[in-house]
Amino acid sequence: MKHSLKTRLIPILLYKDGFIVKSRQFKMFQTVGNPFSQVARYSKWNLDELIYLNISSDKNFFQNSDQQTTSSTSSGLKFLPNKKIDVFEFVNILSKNCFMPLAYGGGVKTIEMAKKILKNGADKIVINTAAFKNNNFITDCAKKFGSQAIIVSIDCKKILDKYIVFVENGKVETGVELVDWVRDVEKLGAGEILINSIDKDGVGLGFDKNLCKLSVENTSIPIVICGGGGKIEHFTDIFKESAPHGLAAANIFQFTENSYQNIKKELKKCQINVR
Amino acid sequence: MKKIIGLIDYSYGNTQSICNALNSLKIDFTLCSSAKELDLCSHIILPGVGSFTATMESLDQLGFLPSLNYNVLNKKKFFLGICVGFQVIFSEGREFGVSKGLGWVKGNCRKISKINDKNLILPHNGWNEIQNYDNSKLFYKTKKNDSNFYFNHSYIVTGVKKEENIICCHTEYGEKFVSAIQYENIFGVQFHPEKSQENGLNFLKNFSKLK
Repeated sequence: MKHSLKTRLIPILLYKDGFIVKSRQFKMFQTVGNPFSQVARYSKWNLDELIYLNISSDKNFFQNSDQQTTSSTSSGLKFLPNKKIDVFEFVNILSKNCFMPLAYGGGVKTIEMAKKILKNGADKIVINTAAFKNNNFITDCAKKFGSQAIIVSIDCKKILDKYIVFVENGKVETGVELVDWVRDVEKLGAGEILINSIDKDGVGLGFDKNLCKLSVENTSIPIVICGGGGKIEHFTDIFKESAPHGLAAANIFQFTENSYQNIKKELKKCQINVR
Repeated sequence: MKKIIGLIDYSYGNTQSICNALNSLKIDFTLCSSAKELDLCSHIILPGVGSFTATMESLDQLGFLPSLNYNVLNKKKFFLGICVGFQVIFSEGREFGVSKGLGWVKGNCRKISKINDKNLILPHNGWNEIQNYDNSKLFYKTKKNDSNFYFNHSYIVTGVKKEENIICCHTEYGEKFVSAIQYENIFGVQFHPEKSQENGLNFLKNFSKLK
């Protein structure tokens, strides 16, 4: 069950209407900071990768709504004045402090938009609803930018013992089973798949092991699993059943001191091939 | 000549990420979108994401080839090729048919073999280790217990003669391949130093300090 590539530990930052937020089951949102200071903090942590997701209803513009923040930090990352900027300028600023792969998602609907996001310093785009609605979008993106630049994100929820795919920030049930969509996504040319459990999101009681196993067994492309990683042992537990290529989480990295390095240490102890 | 890096800016490559890395290291550089700008630089970096053929065609169309040859082969300026920018310094590429490379170093470029592992995922995308890198000064400060760099490619360089002593290190993915070379003033790496955190930033810093 060992990949020759390193298993990645990936913090996710969720941006919603001017703030970084903590989410719980895709429903409740709590503000945790301004859109840039978290990136500045993470840039010192020697991350494997960073995923930045915009879950606002209006995904076209960014602003810093956190009035308490000053205009600059000691880390050298410049904060923006409190004015609206577009997604491309936003990614451009983000990338200035990212010397590791940066993935951006949220409202990426067109090839043109994907191209500009990648050109502004992102290494991968994350697509979800647009990919589900128009399957060719995955193929078109993969042909144009290479499959390694395309992460298809899938949000799912357990309904009567089946994992069902949800879209539109987890609001719309599609009726499609996860396994079917995972197989399709691979055929359509995605480079990797980010699986989010809506049930486990923000609960902190551990990843959904069955969900992970099911996803890993039904595709040969990398699976990154997200949702539920609240304690260090959750990150090692998951490998008892299957071997995802990446583990993603949001809250634990914001609220638990030294969590990133400590999880890495624990994974190493358990002989998981990490960086 | 003032020490300044010329970063070749053409339609291929993730130029923005390299600019970000150089900026954070406070290394002087200039984006070169035309060949004559290379004459004013002491070091040259050729980035690359994309295909061997497209990279060579683009360099040719923008008129970079004579200037690259002059500055690197005649003037012996320090040159660093990254990813496809590394692959094109060899004789030829076999990506879509055979295409000619810059030919500064003997060798060619072909797809990673799946013979040893049918389920091998391509491209090789992610963190991997470099092995036996001790002899190259560009890897000065690369830690023994963490020699990870970020890779993103499907093609590798083969046919490099061991006896010429230009191989700096190897990496394993499906097979063992050359992940960095140094031939006189010419350096090339298969990984992306600009996306390899501290290891990568140290590497770029070491390159910029060459004189």
